[in-house]
Amino acid sequence: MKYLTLYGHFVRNSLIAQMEFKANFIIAVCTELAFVFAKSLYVIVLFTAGLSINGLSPDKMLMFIGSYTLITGIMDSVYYPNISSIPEYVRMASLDMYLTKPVDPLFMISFRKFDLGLGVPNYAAGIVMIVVSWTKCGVPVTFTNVCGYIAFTLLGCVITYPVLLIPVLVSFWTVKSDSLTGSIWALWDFNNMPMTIYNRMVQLAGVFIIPIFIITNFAPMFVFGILPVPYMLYALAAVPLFLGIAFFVWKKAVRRYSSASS
Amino acid sequence: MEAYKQVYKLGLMKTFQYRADFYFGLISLFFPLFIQVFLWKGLYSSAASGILYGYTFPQMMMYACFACLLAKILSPDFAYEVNEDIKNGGLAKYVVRPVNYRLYRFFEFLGEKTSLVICSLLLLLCIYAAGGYVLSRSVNMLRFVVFLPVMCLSLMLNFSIYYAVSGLGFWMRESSGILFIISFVGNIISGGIFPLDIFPEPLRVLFGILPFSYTTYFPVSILCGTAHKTGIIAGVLLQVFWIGVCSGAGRLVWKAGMKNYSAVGG
Repeated sequence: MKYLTLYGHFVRNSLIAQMEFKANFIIAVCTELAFVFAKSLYVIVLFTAGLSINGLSPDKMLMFIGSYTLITGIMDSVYYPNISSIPEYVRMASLDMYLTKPVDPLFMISFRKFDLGLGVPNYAAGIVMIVVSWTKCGVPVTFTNVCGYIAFTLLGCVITYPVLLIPVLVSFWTVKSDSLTGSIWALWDFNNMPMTIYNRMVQLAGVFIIPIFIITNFAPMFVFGILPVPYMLYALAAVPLFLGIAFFVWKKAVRRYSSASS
Repeated sequence: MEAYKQVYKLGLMKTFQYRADFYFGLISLFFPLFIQVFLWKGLYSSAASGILYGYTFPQMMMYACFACLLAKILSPDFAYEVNEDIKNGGLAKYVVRPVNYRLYRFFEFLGEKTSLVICSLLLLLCIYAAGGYVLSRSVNMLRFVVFLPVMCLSLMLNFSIYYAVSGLGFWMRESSGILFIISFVGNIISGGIFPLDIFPEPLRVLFGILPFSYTTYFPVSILCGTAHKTGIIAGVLLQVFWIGVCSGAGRLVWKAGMKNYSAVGG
């Protein structure tokens, strides 16, 4: 409860700061609009070609792209501004400030910033794509479908955290982890298309090794009835598993940390 | 001229200074290509005619590879440095020197791109030869020869566009965000991700009018064999026309900007 209240304060402070610098907020929204335009290229290709890929029609694929866009918005607002700053905290030794606070330092460095501007275009575009696809595909709006979709989306949001955090923690050993972090952002874009378009090996790697496909694919697969039961169970187990790995790496990383500021 | 030769050498040395970054940059090119391979493979397996947007599968793959490499060659990183110079007062040190800032940046830009162009051309040649082999027809080296001067014009056009855009820094306190948006959207509408043929007719016409399509889509079309003789001649003339227009616009922007400019720091 204490952490929820604290998170509320973090969000409020970030929003106040963003409203104070309106031009920055507008530029952040415009930048994300450009990224949404890039994502929509795949929608244009699918719909102008009008062809199915591995049994998925363009209408169905639209829900996958919509889910990816929506979760990208959440990632951009909640995780990106924080996690991308971690290597800088290590390099400049500003982590000291968080280690001395009477709050869990991992919580502080992971959730202190919130960027609404980066998320807004993705939320809007993602929700529109999901609703259009849901309607065009005639998916029944039942309690199970809606709750299942929301549950797998939330689960995807939680798994996003260790997937982004673990590579960034490498910076405690290497100081610079730009290339590794850059690769994770590049891997993130693999979700721009449904995982079913990739071959079996890529699918297995994206589900079990780097669980990037769980994040945005499982929710639409659930409502279309193509999510196998073992995958559902694995998704539930993957949350504690990957969070556990992330916390373990964090503990090792902090032990490794030596303040190097002037 | 000797001064600019040295600037060119400095630009060239800069890329060798960050070799790891250079190679990682080349490797990271292939991530988006990987997604496209699976996307097009899936679509072409469902296309009965084997042709989508006027491209066969090997042609589409060639387009994706060439566009990706050319977009990397053309990336206007220099515009951010120019923007920093204007913002932080660094421009002042060039104003008092007997050099033309525009030419200084142009030669540095050429120097920074030289090693990338050489590596990319070797890769392009390999892909072109392999693509020709897959297409089961002899490789038309004439197209590759025509492509080389067209690519040089693309480099000049891209420099002219972003040099003019970088002048925004004279009026905006923080214009790097706008620069990023323009270069990102510019890459899309120049055909740097997908061929412009995927867009609906009105958008395709609009993008065809803008100068961006002559930086990537047009040169890549020459290599893919989708541009024909008259189209190539018209394209080259339009490239020259746009270089003139953008250079002129750049001069006007910079002339007006320099009147406003006051150096702070540096």
